Amino acid sequence: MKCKLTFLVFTVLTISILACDRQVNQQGKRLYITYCASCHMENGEGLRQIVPALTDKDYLHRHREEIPCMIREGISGPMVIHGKEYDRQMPGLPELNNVAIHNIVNFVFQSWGNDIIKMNLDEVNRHLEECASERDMK
Amino acid sequence: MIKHTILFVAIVTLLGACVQNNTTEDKNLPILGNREVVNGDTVYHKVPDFSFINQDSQVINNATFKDKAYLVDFFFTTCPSICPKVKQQMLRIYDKFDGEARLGLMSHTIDTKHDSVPVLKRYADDLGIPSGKWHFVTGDKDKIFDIADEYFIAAIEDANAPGGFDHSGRIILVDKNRHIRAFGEGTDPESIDKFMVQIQQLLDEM
Repeated sequence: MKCKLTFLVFTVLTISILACDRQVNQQGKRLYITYCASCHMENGEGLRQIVPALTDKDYLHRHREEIPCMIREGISGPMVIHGKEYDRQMPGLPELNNVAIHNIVNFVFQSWGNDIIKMNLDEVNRHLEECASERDMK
Repeated sequence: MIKHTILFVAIVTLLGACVQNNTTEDKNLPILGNREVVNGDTVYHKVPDFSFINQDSQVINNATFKDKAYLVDFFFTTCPSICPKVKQQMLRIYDKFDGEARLGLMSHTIDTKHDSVPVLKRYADDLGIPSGKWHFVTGDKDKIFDIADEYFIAAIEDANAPGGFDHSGRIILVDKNRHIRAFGEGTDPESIDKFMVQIQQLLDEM
């Protein structure tokens, strides 16, 4: 009897954790569609040499730590994505809080075959703090 | 009861099919906009004369599109809202009708202050558009906003809108007589699917 109950509790917990995880992704997707997809497109392909694609795994790996700040503060200057140079300005999204940025980052990391290890919220908080203090120093 | 439902669905489907058939059978696209009857003749809304400068510093005016149908939209190069999506759909149309000499394309910037000729040139290059095929035009700001009205496009300068301008993402189809014949919603790929059929219809009519 006790065993059965433990099993039931375990199953319920597992399902709710999985459901919760999926919900985070749904949240990330919703935010991505609202804030990013108008330029980067719903499938992350971007627009020719105007808006870079979000499907360059190497770029995402190499710049992993900068991505939360790029979303918050925007980015300008040349960058190479899929071997092509882009040099336009991306406006930041200062209205998004850390949790929202966390959700977007992980949605991008896990979509379109990117398959990049997710970032946890502590990591996102730390990177956002770092770039805020760098900006204050300037 | 179930039988009745099936019958009802069948009738509705058939009626739907009929309505659709009728619209596709109607070969000519309608002329959009207000019309007036003057001395017994119907006078349709017509896009007035215009003159702008494209990304290659060439004058683009109504003579550029003589005997051609053309598509227009309004955008700005730093637009963070709907423009990239609209441009993606314009590219679909551009690719589909590539080599069709009877169809012109013209995108007007509404940010004439920032989008100078060299800025437009770089934008066209980055989109991968060779010279002469698709005109990215700038000009007198008031004239651009005035002509937007003539194409039934809403465009206003608004400091609160993303990028400083609020505008519609419609793509307008104009015939060789400068009558507006159809439009597509540039933010909606399905609307553009239908629009491309209409563009072909107009070309077939020419």
